[in-house]
Amino acid sequence: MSFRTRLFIAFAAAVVIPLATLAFGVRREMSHRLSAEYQRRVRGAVAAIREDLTRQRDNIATRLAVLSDQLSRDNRFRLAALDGDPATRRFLLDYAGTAMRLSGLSFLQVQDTTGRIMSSGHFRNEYDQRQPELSRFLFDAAEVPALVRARTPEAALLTLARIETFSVGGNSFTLAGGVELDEGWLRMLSRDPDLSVALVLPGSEPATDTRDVVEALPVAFLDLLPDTRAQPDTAYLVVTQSARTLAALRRRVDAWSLAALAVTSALALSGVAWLSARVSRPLRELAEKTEKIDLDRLDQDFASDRPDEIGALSRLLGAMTERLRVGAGRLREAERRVAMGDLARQVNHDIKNGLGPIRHVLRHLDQVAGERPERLAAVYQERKGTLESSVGYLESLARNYARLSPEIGREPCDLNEVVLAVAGSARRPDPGTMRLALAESLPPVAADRLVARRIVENLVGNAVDSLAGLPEAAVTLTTEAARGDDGGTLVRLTVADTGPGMTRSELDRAFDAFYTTKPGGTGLGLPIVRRLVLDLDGALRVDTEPGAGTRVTVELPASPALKER
Amino acid sequence: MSTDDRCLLPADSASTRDTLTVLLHGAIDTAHAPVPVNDGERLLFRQWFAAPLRLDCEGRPRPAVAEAWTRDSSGKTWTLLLAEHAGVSAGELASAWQSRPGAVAALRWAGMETVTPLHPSRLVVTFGAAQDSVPAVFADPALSIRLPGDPRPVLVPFPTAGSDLRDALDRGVDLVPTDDPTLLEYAGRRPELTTAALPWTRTYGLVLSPTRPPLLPSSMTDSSAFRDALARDAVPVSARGAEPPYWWEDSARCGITGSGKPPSHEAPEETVVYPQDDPVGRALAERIVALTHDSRIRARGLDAGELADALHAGSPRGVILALPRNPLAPCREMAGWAGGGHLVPLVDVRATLILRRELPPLTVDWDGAVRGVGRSP
Repeated sequence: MSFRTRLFIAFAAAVVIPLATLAFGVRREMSHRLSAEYQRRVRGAVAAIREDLTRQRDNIATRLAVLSDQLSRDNRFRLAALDGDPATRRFLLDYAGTAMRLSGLSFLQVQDTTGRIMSSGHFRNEYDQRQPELSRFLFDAAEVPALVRARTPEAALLTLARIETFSVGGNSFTLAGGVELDEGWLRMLSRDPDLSVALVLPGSEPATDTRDVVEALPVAFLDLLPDTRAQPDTAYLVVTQSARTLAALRRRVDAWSLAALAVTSALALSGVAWLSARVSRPLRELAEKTEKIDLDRLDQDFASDRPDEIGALSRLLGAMTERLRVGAGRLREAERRVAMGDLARQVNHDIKNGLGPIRHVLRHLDQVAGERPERLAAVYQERKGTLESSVGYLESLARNYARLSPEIGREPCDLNEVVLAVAGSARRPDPGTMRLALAESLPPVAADRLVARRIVENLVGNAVDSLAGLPEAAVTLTTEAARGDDGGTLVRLTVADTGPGMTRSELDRAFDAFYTTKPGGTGLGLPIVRRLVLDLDGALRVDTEPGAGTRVTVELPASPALKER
Repeated sequence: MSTDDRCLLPADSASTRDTLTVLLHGAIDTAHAPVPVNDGERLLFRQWFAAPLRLDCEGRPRPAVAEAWTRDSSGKTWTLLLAEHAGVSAGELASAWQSRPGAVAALRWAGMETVTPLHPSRLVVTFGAAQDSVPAVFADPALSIRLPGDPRPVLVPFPTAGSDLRDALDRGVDLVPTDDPTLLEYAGRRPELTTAALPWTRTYGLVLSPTRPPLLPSSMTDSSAFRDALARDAVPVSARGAEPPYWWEDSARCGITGSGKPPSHEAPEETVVYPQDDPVGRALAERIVALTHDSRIRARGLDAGELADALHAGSPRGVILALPRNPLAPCREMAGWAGGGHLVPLVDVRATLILRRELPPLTVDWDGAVRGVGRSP
């Protein structure tokens, strides 16, 4: 993770977490306050409903008092009620209906002391039925709101009822009356459109959501429908504040909190991004300059006039670069001196390589001359090519050194021919075999043939030398065409042996000049090979492991002219 | 006092008024003539049209287009002797009947088989069954013809304004048939007005569904005390407990066993239904509901079509029906509800006529229609 990223995360956490905490706290506090406000409204509604009920009851009582006073003085009622006068009976039967409509009531009933209905306003023709429980209930519930569900011809009638007693001729009569409780009445009770009032009668359940804010006001209740128990019970006026409104309000608060948090966070993160970029830019610039430094490029300018730690670091890096620059000059001088020694040793090594085949031919001829003289001429003819090749090699070597030219010739060169030539003249592993796996139609490489031969001879010689004393040994030379990373064509040469391989430390030093593990070795083979390969714009790779042999891979670019051909 | 005298309304014999105003109930459509569809049309049409005979307020046959009638020994053939003043021959009368589907239907419901003009003044009508007395169908308005001349006095509609009928009395209307107790009480307090009870014209009954439990115990509904109590206390008009004989009990001779409609599959209802614009029907339904001790049973008003459907379906627990007290064609009346269930008679009702004291003589027919006793030449 980059320093800038770490900086960004740290700044972001420092800004966003407090903001989120603030938003959460505000939301929670608001939710608590809203819930409390809702509860307060519901309680207020219940108190208002209680006042409304009291006012309604007082109003009903007033109307009943007026009616009973008027009725107690009415002669027709007296005649009908006390004497059973047929002439006034119809007046009595119709009285409650007329009085009910005149007084604005929706329920009115005149009963005698036995509970017999003498006149009924809401159900004119229920006269002579008995309903003593109505009077008992209303007397018992004189101090509290009392609801009565009465029967009418068409439907049940729910009323808020009261009762009044009056006396005529020493007989008591009751006048029970009330106003209807319907949906409109319940709506009027609620006042606040966000509140709803429902009447829950015994045996029924309120249709409210469990999340709603609810307050219940108990009221006395009597059901006068014929097939009910007609026993006093309790109903409830349930005031409900729908949780939906509160939930919607909470959702809106949440949405606005999130929006505010998102906007603030976005602004804060933008600021943090700018700040972290600004803080990390000098360090990034230092890193870029440092990345460009190597022995050939020590010209980076680390000068800084910043007074802070970054300025100090920059100046320290500038001082270090200056010391490196001085050290590199000294190193190049030392290299030049070493290069002269290298050249001398290389000449010696190359001459020895050229003389090696000649020595072998001479030993062979000498052996033939001693053992089979008649074959001397034939063998000579067979090995004459080797002698001439070696002599030619030495002559070319001499010409190259004579010219002291660092340039290497770049001619199309068939690497398979070079490999065959070297394999034909090289020593064989003893015991062991040398295997060739040469690709057909191998493109030529752009290389001086002599340089290519020096590369192959050095690698084959090293491989054969590594097999000395091993019972089963083999050297395998492989050529093949390949595709380079840049898309160009390469020719790949692999020289693999089944020798002892190298340790990591041996491999690390294998390209050091004069480092050798062979008795009588110069320690210049691999360094020379590496230099020649690099001069040809090629690449060299060594894969080795102790006990598993060594595999040297050389990749040389194919000759452009031949490629086109 | 003769029967006709008993049907005469209180009058001032010296009065020479030839036009009387009458307060009519219901819209008047002369296209209905001669068969009225409401009380107003009945009053107006009766003075212009006459059937072969008429029934007085006590249901007795009186001469009208026919001045006399005879029967043969079998009682099946009746000969009508047409009055000369009617201005119609037997052939013209028979042709008029045959050209009017209503007239043919009325005769067929009465069991008529042939109508033969035997002589310009004699019309022979043959019935399929013997008739003990002169068939009431001869008084059916469907058999009426337009009489020559004008009635004396002639009744003309009184232009009403507003719903308070006391205003009409104050403004001088001569005749007001009504069942409104308030209006009757008001008329009783006015010395220039008098009242006369009209015949019992309508019987209310409760049709109980044959497939549902009875609403009330039959011991209660079959008692005359129950009917009298209903008439006295429950209904808002002049009423009496329904009195036998009940013409529908003789329904077997009509051969009606059902309504003739396919059986219905309406869901049963816990209702007692009544004609929705009929206050008497409503009061009776409410009283029936009050007497049942089942809170599910409700009273419910229906219009005429709905009531007929409910009666046919048998879905309500009870149906309050208003039937003519003395129908001219009982079988035709019965076809409207027969098969709907058992009919329990409840109350008979009648209207009362409010009239001015100085009016010329008026008489009342069996159906409450009022008309003058004379005609202009």
